Amino acid sequence: MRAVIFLLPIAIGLGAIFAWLFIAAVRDGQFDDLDDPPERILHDD
Amino acid sequence: MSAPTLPSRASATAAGARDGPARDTEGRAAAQCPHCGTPVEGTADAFCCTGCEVASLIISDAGLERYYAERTAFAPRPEAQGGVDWNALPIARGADGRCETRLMVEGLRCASCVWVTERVLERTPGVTQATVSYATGRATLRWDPAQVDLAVLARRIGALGYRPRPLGVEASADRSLLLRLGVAGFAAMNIMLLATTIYAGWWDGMDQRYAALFQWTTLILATPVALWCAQPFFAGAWSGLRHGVLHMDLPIALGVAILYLQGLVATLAGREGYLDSLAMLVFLLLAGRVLESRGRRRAAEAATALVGMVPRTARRLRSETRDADGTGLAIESMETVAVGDLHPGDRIDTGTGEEIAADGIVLEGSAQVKMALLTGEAAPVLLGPGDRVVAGTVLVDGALTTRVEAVGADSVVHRMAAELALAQDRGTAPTSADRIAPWFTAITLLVASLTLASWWVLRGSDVAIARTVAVLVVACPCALALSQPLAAAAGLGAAARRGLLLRSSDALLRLGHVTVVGLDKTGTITTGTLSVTAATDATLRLAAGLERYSAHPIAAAIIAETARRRIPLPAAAEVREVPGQGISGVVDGARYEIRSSGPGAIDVLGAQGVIGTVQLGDVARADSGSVVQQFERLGVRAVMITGDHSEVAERFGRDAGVGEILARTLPAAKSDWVRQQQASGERVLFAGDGLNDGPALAAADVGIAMARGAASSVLVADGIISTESLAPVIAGIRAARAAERVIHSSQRRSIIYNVLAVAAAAAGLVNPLVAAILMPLSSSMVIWNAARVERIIQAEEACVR
Repeated sequence: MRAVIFLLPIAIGLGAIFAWLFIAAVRDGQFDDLDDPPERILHDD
Repeated sequence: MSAPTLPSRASATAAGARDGPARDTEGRAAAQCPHCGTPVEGTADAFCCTGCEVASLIISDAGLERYYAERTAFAPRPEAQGGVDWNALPIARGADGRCETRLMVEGLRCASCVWVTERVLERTPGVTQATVSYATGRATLRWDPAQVDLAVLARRIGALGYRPRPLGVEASADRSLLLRLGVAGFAAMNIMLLATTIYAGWWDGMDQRYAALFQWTTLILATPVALWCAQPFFAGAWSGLRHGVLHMDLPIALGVAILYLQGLVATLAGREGYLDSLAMLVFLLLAGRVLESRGRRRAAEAATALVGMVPRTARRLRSETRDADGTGLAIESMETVAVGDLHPGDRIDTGTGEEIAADGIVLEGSAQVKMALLTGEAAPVLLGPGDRVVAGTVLVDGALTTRVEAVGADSVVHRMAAELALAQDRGTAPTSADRIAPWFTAITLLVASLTLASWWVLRGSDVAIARTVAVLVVACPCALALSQPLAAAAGLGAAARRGLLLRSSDALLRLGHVTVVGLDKTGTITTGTLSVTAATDATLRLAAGLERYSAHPIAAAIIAETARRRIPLPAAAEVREVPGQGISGVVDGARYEIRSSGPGAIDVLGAQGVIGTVQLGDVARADSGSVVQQFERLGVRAVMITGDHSEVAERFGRDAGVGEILARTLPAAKSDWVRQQQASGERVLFAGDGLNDGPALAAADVGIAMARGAASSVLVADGIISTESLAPVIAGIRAARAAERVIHSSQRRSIIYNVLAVAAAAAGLVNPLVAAILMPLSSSMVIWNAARVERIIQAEEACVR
């Protein structure tokens, strides 16, 4: 049971990393336009 | 410029194969214009007009011939565009000195259109970035101002056949809401894991030290959720209170506050609180908000793009008296100025196809002027010296010199817009959830105080406080608050997919209740553009040959009709167009001439005189009749309202199957009609497109404008039809009624849930575990219910078919 002392911060830390990645993606504008990128992939230059 | 490398014939027909081969009337080889697909006589690769040839040249110059092989729809025919001052648009300047701006591009028909537009712009020297969105039609451009300017880029888009429009202030993206949702999601999921562990400990036993660790971690994770993520609900509740309104955010904010304070106190005391329910509820509520705002944003963006007024230019005449050489001769010169720089007394020139820049009086010349913007009549009116002209009306044919009489705030258009702004004050109607909210809050507080009082007497203060807090916690009306936004967002999305962009969920819900619909004739029941109404194939073919290089609206109507009848365009030589008089040229080796013969008709003349006549006019939209029928089936009375003469109006009304027709109505009479209907208890929907429809659109319970209509009508309307059809209105009514049904069923279920949960809490049956299961479950039920909106609409559509 004592392992929880280490596992809990690790679990939350991992979650926080993903939350931070999500925030970075939102700030980057990744979610501003959800309709076009699927169309765009069909065209290569 | 290099010689045009024409796209291969094979690829052009491959793209056009679905339209079938062009009809071959006289045994000649039939071909199609490689750019727009209009049938053309003679050799392969013959373009129908110079516009298409230029477009194709631009594409091949940029090395993009692949466009023709890959596209799934023909390109639109390039139209003449003029008098627009693109460089006067607000342009953002980056730190590196580059300019950036966004435009709306209309006429994008397939993904290849996007591709070719982007590449053509990117390969224009000076452009560093060009991205075009197919879904929204938005283009983002970055360029070096030293090498190129926006006017050049807009002209290139126009030359390809697409129509650039300035984009107004962009509806701000809902990033902050998404960030809150992300943080709430992260906290809620972790808290749920911890909570499961804690609840498991109830049965298996758990060391108090570990329980405390989990409780404190939960508190740390829940704090940003309560203080930051839930902030929109606190802000909403507060602004409601300040305006003396108790709306749905208030009980939610109260619930969140109580949940958090209880959790804080419980954690300090070493007990379990309701923080897990708190995190989950805030997460679900925010998800509802995000969905709702996404639904609204599309309509808002479409509206800003349509309203974004193009700064226009005018050609001002200047006379200088030169006395230097002693002759005293007045010399006329012309300068291009922004419309805003015009003053009363200035003289301006306007040519065929151009918009008149300012209100004034005709000094010289004569022209057919389309006044549809003002009067709603499609047929152009012949104006000459002494007649008044109004800014925004379009010269169909001819040239005018006018003296400016009024500009800016004094102009007719401005006065009408000001009138509209007054009429527009519709306010936001309280939603059904907002009407419930005060009662809900009052009853909750009443039940809570009864619980506190009775348990205090029976079992003492500790039990009384615990159960009262439980009552306040489960009374949080989250499922109730989600009912309306989620179902309305689903309804807005369903309507948008069918071509009706509505500005708010209020408008959607009002649309479901309309009992009578007023339909403007020109541009709403009819197409509002010139079309050929009568002509023989042979006459039409000759006329099309002569008109194929003309930018005149009549030419566009004739070419469109020949394409529809699959008559190949004949080759024409020695074509000479005299603006305001006619066109002559050689077709099939003989000389022909086109002359205007009265309003709405042209004659084709040969050596022996008149060969035939082409009648032009406004025609009803192909689906107007079926739309009117469907209105009746939905229990909505359809009335056609028009400023037109009654016999013309009656013909259109009969064609469309409208029972009631009001003809010869003045613009003001349209809004009077709306108010009369409202006074007699009807809920009125008004659909129109012109400036003259503005007051009626603003006065009606729901006003819907056509996307190609006057900017002012789009401005005051609740919704915009983005396709060239009235059918989206029917889809909108269905979506509204489906959403309403779902909202009511969700609200009923949430209220039943709240009543049962409050009763259980008052009886002492609710603990944090029960709350953590019940509360998210009731909200999920509402989310699942909202997904039914689309299914209900599809079932009804299947019924009609």
